[in-house]
Amino acid sequence: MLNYAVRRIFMACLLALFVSFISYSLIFAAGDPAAAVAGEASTAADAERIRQLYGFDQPILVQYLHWLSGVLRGDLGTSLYFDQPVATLLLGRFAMTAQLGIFALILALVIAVPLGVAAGRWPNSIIDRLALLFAVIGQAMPSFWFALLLIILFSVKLSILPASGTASWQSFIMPTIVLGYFAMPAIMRLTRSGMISALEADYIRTARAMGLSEARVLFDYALRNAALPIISLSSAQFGFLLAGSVVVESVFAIHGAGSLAWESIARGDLPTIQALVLCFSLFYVVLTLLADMLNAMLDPRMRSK
Amino acid sequence: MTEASAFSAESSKVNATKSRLFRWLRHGSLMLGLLIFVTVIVMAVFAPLLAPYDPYLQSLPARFTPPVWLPGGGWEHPLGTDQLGRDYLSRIIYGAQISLSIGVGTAIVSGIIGTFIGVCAGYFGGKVDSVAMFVITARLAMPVILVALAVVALAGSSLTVVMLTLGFLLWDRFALVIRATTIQLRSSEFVTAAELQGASVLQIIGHEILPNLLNNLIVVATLEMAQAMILEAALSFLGLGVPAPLPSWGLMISEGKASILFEPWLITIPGVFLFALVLGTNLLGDGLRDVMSPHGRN
Repeated sequence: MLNYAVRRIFMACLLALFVSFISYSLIFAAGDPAAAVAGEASTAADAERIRQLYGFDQPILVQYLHWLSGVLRGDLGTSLYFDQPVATLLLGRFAMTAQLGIFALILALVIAVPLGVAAGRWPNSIIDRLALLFAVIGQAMPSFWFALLLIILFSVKLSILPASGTASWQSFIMPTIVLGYFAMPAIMRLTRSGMISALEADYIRTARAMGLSEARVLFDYALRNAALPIISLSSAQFGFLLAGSVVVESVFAIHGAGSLAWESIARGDLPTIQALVLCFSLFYVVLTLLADMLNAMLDPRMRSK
Repeated sequence: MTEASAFSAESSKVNATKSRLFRWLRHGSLMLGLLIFVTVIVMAVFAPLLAPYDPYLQSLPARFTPPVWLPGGGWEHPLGTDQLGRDYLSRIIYGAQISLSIGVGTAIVSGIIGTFIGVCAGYFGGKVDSVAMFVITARLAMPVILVALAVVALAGSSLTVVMLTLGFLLWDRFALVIRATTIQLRSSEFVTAAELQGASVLQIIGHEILPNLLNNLIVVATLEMAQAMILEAALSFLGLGVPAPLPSWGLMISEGKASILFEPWLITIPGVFLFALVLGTNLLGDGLRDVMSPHGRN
């Protein structure tokens, strides 16, 4: 186990390093960062001064190593817009986004797992068809449009929920529904297929033959065995949820990391964009690492992979 | 005897074609997906003939005309007009061109990248496979919307930039599926036979592997098109996708957002079309997987 853990953590670090380099150079390769920082009304001389001031004239690798050495010391640079350290700026914003992400993931699991269990227990039944329909609609629904539809219904027509902000707990209802529905289809489908293959196993027949109740067979035996991939998928989905918050936060005017990302991109605030991309990727890497560890703890066969 | 066996072979071939056609037709969601997809293609291809107005023609006196089913609407503008008085139906029809070209363009770019990575990983295995899996995981760790927004913002928003950016970001599913299939094909008898005949690696990949990947490629390309169309709409909605005044459905929703209180149909109409197109494309992809690959059935 220790051997597996060390190897896996080393890979995760390598991955984080690689991803940060790719996103760093991708954003620099896409255009002239000096011109973006200088703004539209600037002259060539302004852009040139900024290029030298921020070191944009050096090779990408040199700039990246300089940035990375700062990141390792906990210095993410200074925001060009707010004139304060990016790290301070991000901390509060990420707390909001993570909170929203956790609500959404809980909602997704609470609905998708029981639905998937039922669909897998009775394949091709009415409930299976409805679950599939629910998943297919969820996969095709653009989250920003779904968010606006909810606003039109609950804020404009019925005026029972606030359309934006984070002033009260009611403000979180619609964003949680939108983000949660985004994560549901994949979890539901995986639970369903996991249940179907688990229910075919010999130990289920044995459990049934021993006269265990249907609920115990389903949840204690079948679901427990279908749970490992669901854990992996949920952690990956959580990473996608956080990144998907860019759209949802901008619709509901929530001041989280997602809306900060959108604003920073619109303002050309490069240090903040770089830091945000790094943080979102790190979240994903750490989450999948944790899920792999958990899987390896629960299932010794995973360790040899 | 030979005649009889030739005859039975012939008739079983006919039966196979018939049963395949039957399987296609009987697959309800596949047919629904196909119907929606073909409808949108017709809209895109024949837009100049179908659209009653120029989609860019502004008419300020006719601003915010409601669609025909609401009070104040009329058949002159069946889907109403937007904040600049442009005919909404014409903009919707032309918008199909944008969604489809983004979908097709992205699927081609990401298909080439993903197939290359997947075939290399699956065929050569070992170190190459490890590196490929590492790159695929790295790609999954990158926040797509965020990176796409940043790249489009810096490179300047245009249809081509959005298409290329999404193409360079969405190849992961191609790579994973093609890799898995190539591993299977690699150990099949006809590949071994080709190897024993002294075929070169390129010949084997070109003649034995790639033709057998075609079914999977079509399925993944379809599903990936849906993904790309939804992302383009999201980018355009955030103001960093296809630039105005192009009639991208995502952009139209974004422009309608300001009128959410009194003209909510400016948001619902393009959304319904976007939703239907993505739904249809997904159903088409899932359905094709069901009927084309024996593994995906059930």
